[in-house]
Amino acid sequence: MGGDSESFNQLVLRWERPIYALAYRTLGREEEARDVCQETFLRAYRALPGFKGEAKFSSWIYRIALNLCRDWMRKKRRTPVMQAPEGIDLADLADRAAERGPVESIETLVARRQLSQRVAVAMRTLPEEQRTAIVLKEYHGLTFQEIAEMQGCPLSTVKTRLYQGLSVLRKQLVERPRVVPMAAGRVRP
Amino acid sequence: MNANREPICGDPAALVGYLYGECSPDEQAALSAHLATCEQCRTDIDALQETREVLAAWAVPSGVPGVRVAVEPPHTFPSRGWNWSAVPVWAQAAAAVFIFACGAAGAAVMNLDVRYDAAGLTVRTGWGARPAAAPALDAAVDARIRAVVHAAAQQASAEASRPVRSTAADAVAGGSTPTATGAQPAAAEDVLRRVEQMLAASETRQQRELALRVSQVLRDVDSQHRSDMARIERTVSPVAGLTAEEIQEQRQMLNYLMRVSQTK
Repeated sequence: MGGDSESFNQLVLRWERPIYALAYRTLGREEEARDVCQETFLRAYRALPGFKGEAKFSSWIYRIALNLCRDWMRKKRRTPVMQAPEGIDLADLADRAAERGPVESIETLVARRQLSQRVAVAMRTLPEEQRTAIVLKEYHGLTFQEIAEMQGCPLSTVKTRLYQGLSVLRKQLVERPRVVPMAAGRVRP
Repeated sequence: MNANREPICGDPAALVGYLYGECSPDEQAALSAHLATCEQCRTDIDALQETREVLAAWAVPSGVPGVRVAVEPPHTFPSRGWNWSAVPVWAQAAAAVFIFACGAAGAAVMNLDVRYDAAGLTVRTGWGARPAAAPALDAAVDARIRAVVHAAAQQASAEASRPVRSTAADAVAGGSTPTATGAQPAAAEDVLRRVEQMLAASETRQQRELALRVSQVLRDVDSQHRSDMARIERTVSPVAGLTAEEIQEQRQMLNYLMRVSQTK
């Protein structure tokens, strides 16, 4: 397979979207995610002759992408920034709603997009290890063992990271803050 | 939580394993039994499950980076010579015979003399008779060369204290006055050896510099090519990614690759 660009392009076609999604959810920036995605496949192509097939191809290429994301974050000394659109373009949403057919209304799309932004912002608050573990588990379906190998930690640590990360997200996304109505005429200090 | 807590009660590893369905059947059964009695753990699991459902709403921007690997064939420069592959074989053979015949005729007319002896390969041409004084001419040239070397040796021995570079230069300059006789062959050989060393060092240095320059140029071209490709793909991919037919095709291809990769 090494050196066969056509065969490799078939793999790219299969994996570019997941790798891009992983980079985007890890870095939170579209432009950088594209760069990382491109660099991932470039490195994979160069390293392909050394890939012995002992690990799954997905684990192998995810590891390359994650290392690149980590390098990028360390180099830029930045925490991931989730891009939030300045405003919601109703015309664009209307077009998308029209594409999806009459089933999904603009209101649904707006709500969906807002929820997506809320999740992105909540994920930003997590430590890198917890965020990566959740991304790999929730959005890429890796097993605990695969995540442990990728993160270089024991299986139990992965489970703990997942539990702690999900618990933080639960507080931010599921448990809504209770609004305590102020008593009439009462002045708060 | 229960007063008599079971080992799995509130255990993050057990709860997460149960949540993602990644635990042994025994653990699964034990935790299911525990959840039936422990309201705290049941609430915990339900909330985590709800959190997972909310997480599914996190969308990635549409479109794909459009990465493609292209291996460029090595550059071949168009030949400016005759394209012999376009000429029939019989015509090539006829041309070869014609050229050979012309060469033989010309050699006969010009008194072509080709000799290979102890002095090496000698090719002489000329109209009329062969030069009879060729050995005498060779001897004269040989004597002149020896005189040049001896003069250089004298210059070198006279200025032995000067740097190698100037000694060599002087030796070369001194070659124009072949007046010395009976000199020191050892010194001459030394000078020649030094000159040869200098020439060899200079040649090595030039080759190294040339290789360095070539590698720099190749690196620059490669990086420029990569950045150009990245820019082009960034420009093209959002447009390409929005086409409904292409999305459909990609889905089909994705499904196909999924099936293929799962069979491995």
